[in-house]
Amino acid sequence: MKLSHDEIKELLPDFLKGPLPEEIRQTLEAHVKGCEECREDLSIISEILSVKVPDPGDLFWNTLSAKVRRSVNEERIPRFSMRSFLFRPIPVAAAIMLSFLIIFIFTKKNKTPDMDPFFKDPFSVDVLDYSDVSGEAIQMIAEELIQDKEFVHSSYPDVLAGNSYYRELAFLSAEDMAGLLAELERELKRGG
Amino acid sequence: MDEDLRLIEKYCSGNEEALEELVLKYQKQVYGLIYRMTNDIEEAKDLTQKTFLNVIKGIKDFRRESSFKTWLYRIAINVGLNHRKSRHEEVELEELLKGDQPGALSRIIEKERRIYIRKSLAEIPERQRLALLLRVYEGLSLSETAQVMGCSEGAVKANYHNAVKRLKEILKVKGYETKP
Repeated sequence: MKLSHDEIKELLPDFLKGPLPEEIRQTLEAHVKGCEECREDLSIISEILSVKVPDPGDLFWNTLSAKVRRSVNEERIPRFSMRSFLFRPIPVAAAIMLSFLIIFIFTKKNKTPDMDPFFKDPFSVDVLDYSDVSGEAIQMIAEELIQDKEFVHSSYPDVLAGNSYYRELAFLSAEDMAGLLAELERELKRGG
Repeated sequence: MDEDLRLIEKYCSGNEEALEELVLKYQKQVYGLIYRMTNDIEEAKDLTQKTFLNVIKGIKDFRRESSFKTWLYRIAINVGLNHRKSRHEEVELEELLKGDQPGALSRIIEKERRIYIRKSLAEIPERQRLALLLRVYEGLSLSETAQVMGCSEGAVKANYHNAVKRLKEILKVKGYETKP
């Protein structure tokens, strides 16, 4: 059998590793005997092959397939992944809408008309404290108002010109003032 | 049908035993190839497992254009190369000699010789080394090596011969004579 130098060089690893057809083997051996380059190559390849791979032990060989199978099964269990989450537009849109809804509900809930007491109507029944006003004091105030009606009108025209409670009281008639007095007394008895 | 393809079909249809058969069939070859790329037992063990994991993950993409063995070797080489890129340290001679029992001079000399060859292998360019590993250690044919490396047979030939030539030069420079 005729083989070229290049063809023989290609066959050198096979020559060292395993059985070749007898005809090829004989041709190769005859060529190598007379070819220094091929002898050197053969020597290098045989040196490389002499470097053995250390055996990791039976434990490794016997458990590898089980470890691979376990790893595959573990990866099949769906886990939350931010990357996969971000690449799904429907869940992302739903999450954004839900966030907006929650924020809206909370902000609306906090917008109850709970004003600071400082800004409340100073004459509101909720704010004014009548506990220290006795029945005599109410009567005295009402009488003074009836008597001083003319005086108040002449002395404090600027106060009466404004939109105030004084102005309303100042324009009450004597009967109305008496009615107011009676009403205040009734409220007092009720504990108001 | 090819035995490997039959096992792949079985695995894809839910038979996990087929996966075990595939792993058992190729685990030593994959480990050997990766060990020669990394020169580290623990790394080779981890990367062997990683290779099979990648194989399972991508098994549905296996297009059966090449043999399963060729496809498996390509994955193993990619795993090994990616690992090498992330690792920069050099294994020192002293480190490799560490652990030898005193007195066994012949064993030390033998180990030193292997270290020289390993180190010389590490000095040759990546693709040349791969061509050499696949052709010499794994016994792949030219066409199989070309498929694994993703290049032409001519490129494999060139890489392989350059690797042998380069290795001879390196060993000569280091004063390590081959015995023709």
